Amino acid sequence: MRIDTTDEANAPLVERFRQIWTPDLRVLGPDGFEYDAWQGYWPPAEFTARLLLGRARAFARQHREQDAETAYEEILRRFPRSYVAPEAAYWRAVCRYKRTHRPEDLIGNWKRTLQFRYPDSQWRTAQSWTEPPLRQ
Amino acid sequence: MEAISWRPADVDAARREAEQAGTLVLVDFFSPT
Repeated sequence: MRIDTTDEANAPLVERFRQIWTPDLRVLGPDGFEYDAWQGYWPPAEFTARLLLGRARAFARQHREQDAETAYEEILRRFPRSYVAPEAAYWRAVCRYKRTHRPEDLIGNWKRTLQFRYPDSQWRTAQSWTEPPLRQ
Repeated sequence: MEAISWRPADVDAARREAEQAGTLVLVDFFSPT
């Protein structure tokens, strides 16, 4: 649903969501809990990928690991070069590991994706404890 | 996406619909340019 922040009638919503800048997208659960939020302009392809990430993040935080894994997988399949792809790779591995409890599903997936396909992303840093220390 | 003007209470209406449908709600705060 779209909310025009310049419409005075929407002022209570702007206050309720502590909304300060547009564009501003929120993903809410049926209970109103805010699962994800992002701001600023995203070009169409990046926006679609970001939208899918919001959906995947909500599934993951609802402990719907299989749904989340499938949703993250869709991002990697459809938008492998998108800005959010490394984050999808990180969390896809987490969701799979939470289902299987196999270390390979976590470490192996991180290695194949973040260390090789997205080596400069912040999400590689987030799993860098799995890598050997750099030589000085 | 069709531009729709929503009243404040409609967020809660959308949440109720989402609850019945078991879906998520996407809220898009925008300012017309």
